[in-house]
Amino acid sequence: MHIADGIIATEVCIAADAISLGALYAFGKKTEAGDIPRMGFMGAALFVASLIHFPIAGTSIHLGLYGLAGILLGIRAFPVIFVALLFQSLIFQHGGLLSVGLNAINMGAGAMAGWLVWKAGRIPESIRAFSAGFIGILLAAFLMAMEFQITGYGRGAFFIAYIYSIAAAVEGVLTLTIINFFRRAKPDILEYGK
Amino acid sequence: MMNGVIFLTSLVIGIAGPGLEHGIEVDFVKRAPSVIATCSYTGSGPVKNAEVLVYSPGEGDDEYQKGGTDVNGVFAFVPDAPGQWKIVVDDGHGHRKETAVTVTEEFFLSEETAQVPGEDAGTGKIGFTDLPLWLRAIWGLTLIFGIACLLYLLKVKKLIQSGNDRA
Repeated sequence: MHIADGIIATEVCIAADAISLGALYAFGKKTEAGDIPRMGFMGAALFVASLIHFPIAGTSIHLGLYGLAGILLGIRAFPVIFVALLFQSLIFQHGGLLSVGLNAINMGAGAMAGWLVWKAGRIPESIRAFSAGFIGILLAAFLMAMEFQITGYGRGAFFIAYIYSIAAAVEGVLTLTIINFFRRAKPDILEYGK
Repeated sequence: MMNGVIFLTSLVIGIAGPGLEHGIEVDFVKRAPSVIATCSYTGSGPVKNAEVLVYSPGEGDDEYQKGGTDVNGVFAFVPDAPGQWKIVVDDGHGHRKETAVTVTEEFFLSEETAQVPGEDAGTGKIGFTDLPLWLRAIWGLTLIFGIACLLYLLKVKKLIQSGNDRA
């Protein structure tokens, strides 16, 4: 899920970094003081989520929580994901430092998709919560697979789609569980991204 | 704001240090005449059937050996010269690691056996990435909460200042 340096062309990574920094400014500039504690906690959760691994099909995949970030933060999910990815790269060596922008775009897009799914009215909340978690990580994986396909790298997009569809199901159930918990314990937290 | 940018930049440069690695850890055992490497995902299982490229010292981009890890994440090569040997491990789905192992003159003269866990480009120094994972996780969480607190204080200070200006 976290693209390492040396896989995608340096020029593409630099362009993605520039786009990401622009998005970081655009989505983060109107952040209010009241948003920051929530963003800090979500950033911490995203940061450690990557440590929960699942060995599968000869590789290793991990939780992302991008859909949950979208539900709880809306557009503020992007700056949080960017910072979490930066520290994951520096501290855990998950993903390359130069590729942070590209990874942030992939995963930020997943979070935005999760947020849009969550905002869709009329559909029961449990289905929206599961779908947000499911789509959040699957879209990020799909974008990464497309980038690999274009670069001609790796074992193919179908392999990535296969392993991440399993991760997406796990993530969907986890997101649903967390949302159900918030609904019972602190329902106002779910109104933020709406 | 400028102080915040300087702080974050220093932080990034300070953490990055010499050489960055990516999600895969490689431990070397040097046992003449071969160097054996064991590849594993950080905090997870072996890197199975990954592509491995070996570059000899001073040979630039010409591969000395191209091969792969076995199901236990192990591969080996037989160096023919002393120096720093560059190793690139790539699992084919985004995890990649560039590292180096130093082969000394003594390696060729005697049967040298040395465990080199997480050797950092042959310098022998223990780097930040050699710290236990839990310690790095706590360090990262502290940084994230620290940055959040700093931003919160700056925002609140700005709000108080604008309130005072209006008054």
